[in-house]
Amino acid sequence: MSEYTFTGGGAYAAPYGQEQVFQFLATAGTTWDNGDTWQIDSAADQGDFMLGAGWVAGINPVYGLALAERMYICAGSQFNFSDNNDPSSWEEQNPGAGYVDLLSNYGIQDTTMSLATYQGMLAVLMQQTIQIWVPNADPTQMVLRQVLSNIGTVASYSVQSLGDWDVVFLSQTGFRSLRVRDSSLNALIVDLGTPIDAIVQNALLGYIPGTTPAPVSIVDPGTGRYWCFLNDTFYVLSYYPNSKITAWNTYLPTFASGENQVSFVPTQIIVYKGRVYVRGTASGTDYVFLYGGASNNVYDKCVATVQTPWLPAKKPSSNKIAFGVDLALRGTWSVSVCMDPTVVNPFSNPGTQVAKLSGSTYDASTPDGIQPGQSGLIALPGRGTHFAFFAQCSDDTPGPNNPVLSALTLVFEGADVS
Amino acid sequence: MRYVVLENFKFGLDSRRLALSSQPGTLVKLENAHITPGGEVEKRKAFVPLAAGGLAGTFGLEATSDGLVVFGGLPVGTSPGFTGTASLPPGVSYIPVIHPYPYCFGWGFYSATVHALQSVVFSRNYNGKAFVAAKFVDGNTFLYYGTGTVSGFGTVPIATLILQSSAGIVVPKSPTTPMTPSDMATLLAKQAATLGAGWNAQATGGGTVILTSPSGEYFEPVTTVNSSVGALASTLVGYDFVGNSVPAYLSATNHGFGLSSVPSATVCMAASYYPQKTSLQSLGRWQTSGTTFNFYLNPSETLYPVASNIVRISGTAFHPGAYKVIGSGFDSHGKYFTIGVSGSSGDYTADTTGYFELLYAFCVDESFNVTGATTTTVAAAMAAVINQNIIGYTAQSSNYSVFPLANPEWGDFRGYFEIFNSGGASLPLTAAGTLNLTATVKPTSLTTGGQVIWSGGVITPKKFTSGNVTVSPSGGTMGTGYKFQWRAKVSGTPIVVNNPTGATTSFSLTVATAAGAGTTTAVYICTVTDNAAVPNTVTVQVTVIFTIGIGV
Repeated sequence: MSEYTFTGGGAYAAPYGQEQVFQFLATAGTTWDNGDTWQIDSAADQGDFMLGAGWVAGINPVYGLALAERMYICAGSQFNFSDNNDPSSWEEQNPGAGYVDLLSNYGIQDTTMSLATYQGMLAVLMQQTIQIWVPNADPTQMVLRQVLSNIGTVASYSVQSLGDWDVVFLSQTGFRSLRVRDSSLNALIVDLGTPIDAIVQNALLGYIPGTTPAPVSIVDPGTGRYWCFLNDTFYVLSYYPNSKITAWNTYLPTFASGENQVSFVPTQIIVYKGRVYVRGTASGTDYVFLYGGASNNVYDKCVATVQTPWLPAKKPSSNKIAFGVDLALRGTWSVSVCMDPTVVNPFSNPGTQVAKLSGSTYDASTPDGIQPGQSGLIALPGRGTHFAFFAQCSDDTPGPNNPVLSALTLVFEGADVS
Repeated sequence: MRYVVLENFKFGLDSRRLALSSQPGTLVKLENAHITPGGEVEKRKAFVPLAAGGLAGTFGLEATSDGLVVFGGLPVGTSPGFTGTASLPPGVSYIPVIHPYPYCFGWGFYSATVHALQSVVFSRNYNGKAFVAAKFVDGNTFLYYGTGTVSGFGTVPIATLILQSSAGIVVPKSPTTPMTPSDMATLLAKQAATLGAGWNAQATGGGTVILTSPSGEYFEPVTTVNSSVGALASTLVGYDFVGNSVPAYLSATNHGFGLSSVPSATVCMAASYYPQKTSLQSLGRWQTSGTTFNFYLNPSETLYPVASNIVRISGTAFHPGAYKVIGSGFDSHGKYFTIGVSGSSGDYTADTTGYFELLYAFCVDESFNVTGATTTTVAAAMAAVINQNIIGYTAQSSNYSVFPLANPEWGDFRGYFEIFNSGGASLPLTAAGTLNLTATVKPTSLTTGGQVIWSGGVITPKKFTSGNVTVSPSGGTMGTGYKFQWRAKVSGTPIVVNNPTGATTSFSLTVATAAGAGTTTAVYICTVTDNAAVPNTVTVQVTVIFTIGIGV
């Protein structure tokens, strides 16, 4: 066998259409400064291109969204979108890429805060305005569908799409949502969060952007609940239209450490494989929490608290003599009742506790007209114009025996009724 | 008896009215519990830590196709790299997000003072990969998408910088020094290289970049600078260049081989293909053995390493040519190549954590059978086989000689061409005869021009320069190289040859008077001489036309 080695090859110079030399220069004895920018904007036969500081260099994006084969980011008063199917390409030479300067479409100077999908469209949330855009693979065909004035969001990461038909966000007055108004598919702002506006507005007073932790949110895919962490509390929306339920509650971000519940500050929430993961900080240490644990059925000894308003039994001016209370519940709950609405903080005194229950009190053997202390009914001596219930539970029993408070009944006689 | 029954709590928290007058079903407080679709109160589940701590020095949290990831500003294992990956919570992995300056110029330039990652502004999952907006301590925010290995950062993938997000911005090179014009040129070349097929950019030092467009593509750059001291100049150098090349050939003296007699059996030929750059790790595995190591190809691999130019990468250090293939064999583990240290430039035993990369080293071989009645017909058949079957190679035959040439685009290719007798006997090979010297030139004509300015009866002198022409010789006896000599076919022309002894040259015309305007045409001849004892020559000619107008 003979083996020959090729040799003599030289550097290959490819053919070209045009050769252009660019040279970076600086005044003698100096150099460019940090933050200086340069740009080459070029008209070309087969498509213009831009090198250097183009559409996405030097901007400070605050939020990003993947939608319709593109990445969208928002910064300042504009939003940018990448080339189709290529989130690494954002400039003029990338055919599907571009940006929209929102100032050109709305007269008030505003700052973009967040983005969301809404009926397949792009909702651009600013501080004072919401714009709804219809995406198109061709950047020149992007269409502004609707402008909603005097409403926006104060927290980029409070924004979540509920399915594709609603967007929930934290405005400066509370939680709001975009919803379809009519068959035109136009949107309107719904005061979804009105029931807790007073609470949220109070919490917002303590929220200082850049100083206090930024609100973060998620939609739990297992339950459809919207969570938003603001200051030290999760505000949770249970929205079940078929059951006509639109109910808010709060979670305190705590986790079990031995026998104690330790508070943490959530900094990021994501959904992975249908489960909610929270990154948070406790005492300077970062953790990743899995809500519900690996089995999705882990409960801890955090204290669940339920307090009703004052209930007048339709006769607020009449005195009532209480006999007892029946509850439908699961797990172990401590129940208190107060009948004096003049008490400012009626459940601060542990002595008001009526009973600690482990299961429901309804008993079929209990006859009508039962007297307090008899089977089933929990004795409740007291007199007043209103009733308020207070229940707490630190039971950590997992499902299907996890703690639930279903209903309650108060038995009384009207003292002022002759 | 009277009853108050609260059948459900379907309204949840409601602060719209006083607690004294709220409707039943609302609640004043509902903490750590929520309302179910049935209107009941259900206690929330636990937030369970995946593990205690382990996230120091990291930011963010994202779900990707590879699982949960967090981000940090230090690469893994590269001093002062992040070393905490072992303590990350189970199921969570780490993606380094590196500031553009050390990302592009090497980890050795990293300075925590100006390059440390400050926060992850946001991250998103796009098609299973993380899209990250990362803010650094120098105040800049840059975008990253996906991960990949980057030279100088080992084999652990790091977040891939979206160059467009950092291009054109002067960032700190060190706590006291901004990036230099040379750095800017390097980054411009990197970005320009992404414009597409046919675009080529090369930083040539001193802050200069040469950008060439594909054939037939012309552009008009407008530069914009926001700097009190910096500037960016743009100069059109030429256009419509047709390219040039020097092919690789088998012998420095005669470019081929000859047949002294008709082989007794079929002649088989095996040629190497276009070289590729691939890491050894992707093709097989190795086993250390004394001062050498055996590299075992994956069974399905059709590529094989050739003997030279193996690059050793140890940490951030590159050692081109530190290793070579010194043998091959086959054992119970499969086919292997024995790779050893080349000279004293390296010692693989210190590189157990490094990896090896072969440059221009992997080739595919195919063999073809050739027969013929005479040395001339065998040689002709061999040239035909090469031309018809071996991609990238061309060959000519002359009497008993064959002259194979490798694709000129392969540059300094050092591949192999094997010839063997299928019958096992020695081949009757001899030195090749001489192939006639030939040469071509592209383009065969150049047309260029422009305008001089006339003002106040005076022409401002201006020099006009054409594009390049290139002469490509072949055959003859190259020896130490071909020689070129350009001259005008008719003396007296004002057109100047800018490189009168080079294969590639351009032409210039300086117009200083109104009389110099108009159309100037000249024919230039290049004589190519080979290195034979009695030199052979061949000539090519080019028509050069300058058309100069006068403007005011």
